[in-house]
Amino acid sequence: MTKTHHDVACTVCGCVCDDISLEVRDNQIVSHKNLCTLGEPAFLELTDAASLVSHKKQLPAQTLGLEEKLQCAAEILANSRAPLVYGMSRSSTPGHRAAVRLADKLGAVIDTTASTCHAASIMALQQVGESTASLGEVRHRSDLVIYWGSNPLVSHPRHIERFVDAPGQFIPGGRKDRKLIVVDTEKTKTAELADIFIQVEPGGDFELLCALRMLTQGKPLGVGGPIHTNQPSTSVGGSIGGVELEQIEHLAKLLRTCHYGAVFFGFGITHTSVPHATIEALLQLVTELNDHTRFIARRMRIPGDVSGADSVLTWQTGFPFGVNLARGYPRYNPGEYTAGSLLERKEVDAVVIVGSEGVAKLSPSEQEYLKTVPTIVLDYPGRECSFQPTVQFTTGVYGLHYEGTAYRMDEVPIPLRAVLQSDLPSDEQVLQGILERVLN
Amino acid sequence: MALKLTYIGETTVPVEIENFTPTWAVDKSLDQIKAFEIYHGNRKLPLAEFFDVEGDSADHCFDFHGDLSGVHWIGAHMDSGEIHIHGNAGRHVGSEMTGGTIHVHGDAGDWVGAEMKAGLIHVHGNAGHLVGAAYRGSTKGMCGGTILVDSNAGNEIGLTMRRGTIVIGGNAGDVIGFNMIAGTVIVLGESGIRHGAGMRRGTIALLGGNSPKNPPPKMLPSFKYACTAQPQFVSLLLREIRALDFAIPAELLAAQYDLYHGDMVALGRGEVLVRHAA
Repeated sequence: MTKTHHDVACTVCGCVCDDISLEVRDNQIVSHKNLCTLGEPAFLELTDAASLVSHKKQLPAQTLGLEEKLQCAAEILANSRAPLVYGMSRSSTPGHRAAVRLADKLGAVIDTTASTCHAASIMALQQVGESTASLGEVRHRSDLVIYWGSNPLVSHPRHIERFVDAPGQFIPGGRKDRKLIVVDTEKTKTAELADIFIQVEPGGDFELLCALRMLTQGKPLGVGGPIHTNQPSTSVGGSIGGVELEQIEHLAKLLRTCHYGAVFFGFGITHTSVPHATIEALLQLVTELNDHTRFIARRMRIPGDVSGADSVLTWQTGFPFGVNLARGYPRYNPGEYTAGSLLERKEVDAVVIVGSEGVAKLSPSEQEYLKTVPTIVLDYPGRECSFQPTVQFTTGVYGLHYEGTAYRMDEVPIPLRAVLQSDLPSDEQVLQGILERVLN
Repeated sequence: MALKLTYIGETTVPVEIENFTPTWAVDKSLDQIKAFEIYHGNRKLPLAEFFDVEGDSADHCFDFHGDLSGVHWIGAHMDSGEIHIHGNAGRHVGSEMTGGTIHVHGDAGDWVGAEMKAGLIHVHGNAGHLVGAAYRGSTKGMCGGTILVDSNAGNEIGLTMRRGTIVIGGNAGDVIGFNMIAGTVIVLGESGIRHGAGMRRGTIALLGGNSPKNPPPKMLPSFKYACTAQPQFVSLLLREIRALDFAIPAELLAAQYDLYHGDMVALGRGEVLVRHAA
């Protein structure tokens, strides 16, 4: 019997598109609508792998029964003095909650994959705040959209279609009523669609933002002294951050004079020393632009529910990532209690990984250290872990096998529905099972 | 006679001895000191599990021996007395201290003197990032006291500092005095980029060489050149630092400096001094 599910949400990227239609027959997806180039392979791969998981060749870490695995994991964690719970961006709110509960009881450090991607932007917004809006508001109101250090045609394939090309209540013409600007270090596919492309030199974003802030505040750009020449001190041939002064002045004018501007910034802007300083400058520019017009900023979150993981950690511990619960109360210090730093310094003695895809973002030495400590890995079907875990669980997929909630990049919660049947336990069930055995 | 604490731990899991200060220990017996609870990861353990303790604490003086690079929060919250660390130290040395003196005869980790209010920390080797900085989310970093680092230090020195003096004898990383409210940071060696970004008041002195082969850091476009001068306060300040047993080359006392004002995107009352080209 074939059943069609409408308005299914996809959690492959931070857009969390919730207009997917899936046709399911005999617990298999037989056709789909509205899945993008990232969503389609991910959905089909997970569906195929889930059906094959019981026939797959079992690795040593998988040969134990569920109860034995839970017991083994509990013993490892109960004996650990410095456990780490890491990952979670591919889980969902119930899984995140269970992970925080487990970390709290263990006195562990808990960290999400945000620490290896958008940590800098979270640190920046904690310091200087953020003028922001939902993606719906951007679609309906913005006449100027900037992608800064982001290539959504590759990373978020439907972002432009849904929020830039689409007509809005006050932007009836959609794309033709909006100006699209791309700021990046190289001409990307998205840049080819832009009305204006501004090529900034690698690492020059901060200087460019600084110049834009000066112009936004109506102040002249600084003039250098006797260091080398009488030219502006950061300029080489009349440019700042690799961008011509004339182009910067034109950009500043566009920013000030639009009716509603939105800047979406991506991982590209963080590729610099002290990246949170650059994002602080961007967020402050956006705040200052609100003296002239309405302007907002948004992070282009990449993995599915990393926003949800940050949100759950924040409402449960007060902090979004890199939280140390060893003393029985939460302590937060990015760079000290984040997974990469802890593994680099060999300061953990057991690791729970919820979603091993986050491991690839760690440095080689950090990944190498993972091979030397007991590891408990929760993975979706078909996912190959890059190392041999001590205990491995294959869990059902939220939004496919289990209901849950995912948070879109603008922190709007989107309900996830179960469209397929599965015998696999959920992340929440596994983590709760471990916790119960630790307590006993 | 000082209290001698020899580190005997062999672990990579962090050992944290926060609040173990000379003032706390001054009227305690050796047994009480040995029983002081410290953290090893998520376990509370007595100090004696990781340290051999001998001597007397009545002099307000601790002598740490061994490689303490995995021992953190040494001297945090201390308000008086002296701590000598004969070896490397971990993170947060002298964090939030309000008085006393700490000497690290080795290298120290990140967050040396973070949010300290008074006192002196002298690191005779290298220091990590965020010397004298504010903790993430805090509104103020170092609010007083002096931090001296004989060799190099990392990024974000004096992040959001409010008062006090930081002197780096060697090279420093990027973004010195980021969002600085006031205070003084002096770097005798080379340094990275974007110094003084967001500074409101305060002084950053970059006293390293200035030549075509060794150019000074580029200033941000939100700083304005004011003049080239020989400010008297620089030589007075350097002499005062020299009196703290810190090596200051004599040529700096009579050198000329280029003065920049900024950061104009913030309050703009800060100053950056760059050694004038010879």
